[in-house]
Amino acid sequence: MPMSDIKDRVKDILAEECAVDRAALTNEARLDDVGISSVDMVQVIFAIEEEFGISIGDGDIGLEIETVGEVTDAVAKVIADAKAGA
Amino acid sequence: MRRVAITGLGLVSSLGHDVESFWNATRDGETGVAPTTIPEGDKLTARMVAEVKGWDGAKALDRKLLGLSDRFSQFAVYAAKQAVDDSGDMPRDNAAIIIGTGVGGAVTLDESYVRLYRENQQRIHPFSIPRLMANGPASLVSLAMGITGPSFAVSSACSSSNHAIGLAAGMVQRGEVDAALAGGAEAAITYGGIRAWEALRVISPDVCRPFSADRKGMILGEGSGMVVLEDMERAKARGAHIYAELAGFGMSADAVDMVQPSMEGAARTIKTALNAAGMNPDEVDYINAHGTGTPANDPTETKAIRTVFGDAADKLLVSSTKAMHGHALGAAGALELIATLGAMNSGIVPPTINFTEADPECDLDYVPNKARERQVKSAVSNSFAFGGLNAVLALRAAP
Repeated sequence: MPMSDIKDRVKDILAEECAVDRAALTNEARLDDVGISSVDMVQVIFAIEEEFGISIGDGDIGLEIETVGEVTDAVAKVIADAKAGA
Repeated sequence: MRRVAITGLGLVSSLGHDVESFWNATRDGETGVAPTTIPEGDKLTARMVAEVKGWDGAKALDRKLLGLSDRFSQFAVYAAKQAVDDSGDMPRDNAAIIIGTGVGGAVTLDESYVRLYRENQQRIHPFSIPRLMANGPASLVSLAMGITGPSFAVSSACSSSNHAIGLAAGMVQRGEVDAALAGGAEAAITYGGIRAWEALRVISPDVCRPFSADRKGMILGEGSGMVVLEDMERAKARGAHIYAELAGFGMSADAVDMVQPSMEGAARTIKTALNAAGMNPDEVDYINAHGTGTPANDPTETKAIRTVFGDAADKLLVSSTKAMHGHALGAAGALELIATLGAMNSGIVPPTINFTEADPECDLDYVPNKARERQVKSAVSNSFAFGGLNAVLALRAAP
């Protein structure tokens, strides 16, 4: 799957799991501003792990993450690292 | 001491998801028992259960809270909403929530273990802990309804609901809160759970026949029942419909055996409830029995009733509605209280269905198979749990 598709799919998951408007999930959008809490992110990470068959550690998507773009970048990096390692 | 009015009712059961369906079904002797629909249920010997049919958790909770809930909590929230709506005007800030459960979030636990141990998956749902905790129903009811008073779970197996309701009534009585939502919730019909019950050899392979000579055991049920308890003066002042007065509560421990019931413990608890209510045994018209349909419970409960009521026992109507809605464990007492209130408010006592043959050791009027017209001014609802923990409620018609 191309990286752009992965990032789109991550946004789909964010929208589904957090019941927020998909159109509001621009790269620059802040998670707080669109109403995504840290507890929502726990559920999002679980769904992403299930979707892509990867394991996301605490260091991969940590508390410092603030925007939607940072989430999609972090997931893309975990997937790229997993491929490189395989 | 304040008197305690019951002003709101709500439930989810194998006989329907609302009080009216449940009352009509118990009055008409219908059964909620059917072959189980759970995954791998076809491998079970004890396949007959009283499941809640057609359940959709979205009826109870919005998307966010739904993701944090087990099936038993969803039942509780849906029942609680009905009860609060029914009561009309329940205070939110000075009200308690006490919800009993015998098992807790069994469906969540079972699904998690299937993933981990059978499917060898590496991760389970991140909200498994908030879903499965025994206080899930109390917490979600408070969140969903904005009730901020004292809230917690109690657990005493099959007596959990009656303990919850009795404790909540005490808080209203003593003026600690103006109202309370109390009851029980259970959803423990899982493959692993039924296997455990099978191993204990107390489950009937077909139907539950309380007090009948050919009874073979209990049938597991599930659901939730919730009632609003309120200061009687407040309820009267606002013109609320009062289903009955929760007049007395008794509780005790047998301290005899973990699974065998004790006649003395049961009798002591019924007596305590009657004394607390200031009720003479000959005033009582109806007892909703614990009546599990096991070989051990039914004669023991019969002897306990004879011990407490003496000659008045022969005038009493005694029925076990478990044959219809199943044994809902931690939710049983609340469902049975609501069945009792149905009798008090309609003048029709629900029957003990599946009754075929009298047992010399069970010699009371169990209202076999057909409902009976009877004005019920005072009633008792029994719960006697595994572990020897007993809780009995005494009710009086609204003043």
